[in-house]
Amino acid sequence: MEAFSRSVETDGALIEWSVRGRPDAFVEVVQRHEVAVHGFLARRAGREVADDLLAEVWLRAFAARGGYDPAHADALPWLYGIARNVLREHWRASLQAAEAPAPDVVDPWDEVNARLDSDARARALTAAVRALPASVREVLLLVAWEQLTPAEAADVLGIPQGTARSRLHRARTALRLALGEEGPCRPNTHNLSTRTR
Amino acid sequence: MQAEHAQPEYPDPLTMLGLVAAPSPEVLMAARERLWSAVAEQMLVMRPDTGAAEASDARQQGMGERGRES
Repeated sequence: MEAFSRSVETDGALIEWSVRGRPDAFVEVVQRHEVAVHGFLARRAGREVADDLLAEVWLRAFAARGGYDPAHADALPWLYGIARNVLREHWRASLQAAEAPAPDVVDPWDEVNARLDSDARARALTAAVRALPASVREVLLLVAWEQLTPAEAADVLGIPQGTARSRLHRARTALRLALGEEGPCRPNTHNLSTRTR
Repeated sequence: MQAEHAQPEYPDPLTMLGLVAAPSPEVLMAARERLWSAVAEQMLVMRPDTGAAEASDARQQGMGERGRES
């Protein structure tokens, strides 16, 4: 069995190793991203749910790794996409139990409200973000919270990059209108579409 | 004297809304252990010489062989 160099290999290379006879290489990928993926889950569903669902994300990713394109060096957007699906199924099951319609997007706002303190600025910003269409908001939060580029957010959501950029632009414009460019609640939206990885 | 790395005047409030506490090591370990179970299961059905997975179809083939023997 050949050895792989854990510290220098890209995620893509490790996943390829894991497909070609070294499934244990996949654990290194998980160790690199476990805090980020847990944060993704916790921001949207709370810490307890994140604790419960994290292993499910790893098992699904491990089962699906054969379809991963190893040319993608960073597996994090792919893992976020899997985490998003796990969350959607979790919420669908919860809503079915309550006999309510299932959401078509991942909506974190109940959890955000629970985190908020009495800070008026935070509440104003939350109201403005919450007023965004869900599909627009999801792109915004992938960029703002998970620090993804618009292209990476598009990968997570399975939408064209142009669509993600357009939605991000809509989000930035809407927030500026709602909060005022020079107001105390001004979110740092200038850099949201300019970061590159 | 200026700081080497300029800090923003205030944290980006949108980013602040997304701040959550880091998971406990025990949670991360527990999730990893479940993954290891799946990894170990797959390693058990691999040929040590090539690393290629014999997988369940091989086991099914073996069951077929036994079926023909009986």
